[in-house]
Amino acid sequence: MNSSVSDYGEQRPKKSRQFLEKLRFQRRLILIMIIFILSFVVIGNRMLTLSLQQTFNKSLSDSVLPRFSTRTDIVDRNGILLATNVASDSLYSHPNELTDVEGAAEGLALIFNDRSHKSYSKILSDGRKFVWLKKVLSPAQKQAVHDLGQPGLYFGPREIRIYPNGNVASHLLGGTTFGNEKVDDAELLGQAGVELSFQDYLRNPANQNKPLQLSIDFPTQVIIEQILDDGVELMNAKGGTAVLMEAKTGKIVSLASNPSYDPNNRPSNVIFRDPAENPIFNRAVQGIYELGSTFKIFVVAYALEQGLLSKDTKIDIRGPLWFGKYSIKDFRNYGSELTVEEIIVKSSNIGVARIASLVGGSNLEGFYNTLGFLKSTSVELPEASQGKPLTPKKWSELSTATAAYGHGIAVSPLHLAVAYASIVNGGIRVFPTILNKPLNLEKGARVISENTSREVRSLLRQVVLNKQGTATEAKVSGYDVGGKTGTAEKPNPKKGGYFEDKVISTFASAFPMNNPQYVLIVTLDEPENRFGTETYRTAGRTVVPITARMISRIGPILGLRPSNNLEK
Amino acid sequence: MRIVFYLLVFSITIGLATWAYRVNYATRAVSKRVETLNSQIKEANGTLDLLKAEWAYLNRPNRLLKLADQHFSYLELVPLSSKQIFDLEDISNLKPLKGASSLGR
Repeated sequence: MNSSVSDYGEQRPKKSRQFLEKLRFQRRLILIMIIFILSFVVIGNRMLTLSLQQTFNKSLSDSVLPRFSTRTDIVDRNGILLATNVASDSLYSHPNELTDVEGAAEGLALIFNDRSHKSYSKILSDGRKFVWLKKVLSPAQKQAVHDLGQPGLYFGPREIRIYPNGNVASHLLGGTTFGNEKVDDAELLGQAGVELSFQDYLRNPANQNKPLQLSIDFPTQVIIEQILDDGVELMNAKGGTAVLMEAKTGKIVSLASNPSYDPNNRPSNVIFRDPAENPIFNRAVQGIYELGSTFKIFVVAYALEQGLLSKDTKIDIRGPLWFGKYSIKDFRNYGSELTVEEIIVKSSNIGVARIASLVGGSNLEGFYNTLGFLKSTSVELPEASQGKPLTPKKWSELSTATAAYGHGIAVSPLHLAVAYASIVNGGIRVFPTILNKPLNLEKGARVISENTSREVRSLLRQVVLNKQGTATEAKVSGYDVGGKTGTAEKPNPKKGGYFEDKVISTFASAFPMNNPQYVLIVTLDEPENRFGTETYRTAGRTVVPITARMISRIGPILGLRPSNNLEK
Repeated sequence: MRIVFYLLVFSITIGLATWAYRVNYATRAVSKRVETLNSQIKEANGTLDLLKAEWAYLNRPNRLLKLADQHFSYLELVPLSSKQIFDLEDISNLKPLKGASSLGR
């Protein structure tokens, strides 16, 4: 017992130490457990909130959905498609992988019909490891190549530019070509027209869903082109051009140049003896012509503005007028004097030459400058810079007199459209644009007063209304047309001087004349009206009836209210 | 008591693990679906572009003119003319033309 007590007594401190250690150990375990549970709760809670929150994965929702096209569409002012892209394929080969070179060459020659069997086998067996075979395949051709079953022939995805309307507005659109070509992708590059001038906009991925909107009205463009083509054929001309412009804004509604081409298959830059015969030549913008009597209205407008004369002032028109060895004559003898109005109506060269001497060379030069005749136009086309006017070096008495009736100064038909719009719209200079919403269009200054503009309009209207006017055939039912004709002999580049039987006939018109909305310039190159017993080349018999047809067709399409409908 | 506690913790662990496992797979499935949808959208956009181009091609003026000519006998489409446009008051004064159809009678 004693011993047991003593045993107990001996063991007690040992046991209590053990107990204390155990307790400490347990506490530690509990602490660790609490930490584990806490962190478990925290992490679980975080997972729960994350799963319940409606957060989107940013990288998935914000990424721009890849659209197929990489070059933006081009549309007209109402959104009608003028240019877009479609998927296609290119064909290339790794000749070393071909098992049957001859078979492949034979098959390819049959499918494409562009090279002979021999030529294909030569390309495929000359030791190269990579060969381009075809830039663009049609779906049927692709299937046929598939069916050859040859290894070593590969397709590369391609995007091709399509102009669904063929030749329509070809000179404005311009066409594209492949730039840097890779197996899985090829650059599309603009060659001319808006495809070139808006290259950066069209290629910017940010603009993928924002097509380039032109100021062109597609139906009007189609009709203008059609009538121009018919007119060129009917009048046996070499070509022609037409520009339809909004008189108040300078927006180009239609721009046509004949001959034209298909931008889907733009002709390569062949050298023509006369560049104007090249279908890719844009006559309206690049073509620089002496536009003849259409200029007469400008010197008269300036003289009216300065108060130098009124439209009833009589001018001595006895001729010919001599300047050194050069003389100025009229088309026929109009008597000894004419009023200013009659000078415009009958188109007397001597009359305007006299008015020009009244105005003076530097003043006329200044006025032509404000109308934009001395510089290239600012239209957003790469070709515009090539349409640099030819102007007199020195505004001597002779060159001032001839410049007053459109000789010795050569401008593009677009220049003429700008100048006519500026003098008939109330006298505010317009700047031409091809965009529906021009970015930073210059604001035009006043070139003539409201009042002078009204007088100019009445003069231009008389050219059509007056029985002796040069544009009597421009009477259009429902639309009051006014304008001025111009028949200019073409310069003879070989002999110098001018051809007698080759002319540029122009009709510069505006309608409706009481408040002009549109200006239409139509020019024919070497027209000959052979319908009567005689051959006529003057504008009144060639280009005027064509313009009248255009206006009668496009008037209703442009939404113009016809005047005095029931009387006619 | 302790065994109940252990069982509870154990079942919570299993439950959460299952849940985490399922969320993981659901997320992967959804992101895969998004990828598929994106490629479908891309394809649909491509088709749309192609159809738009085809629509414009079918509506090209040359073809429409030809069709208007071909079906002239019953469509009788002619170019719009200014003579077809009147003011409202002019119409009330117009007498019906001789032989006009009995439309609206």
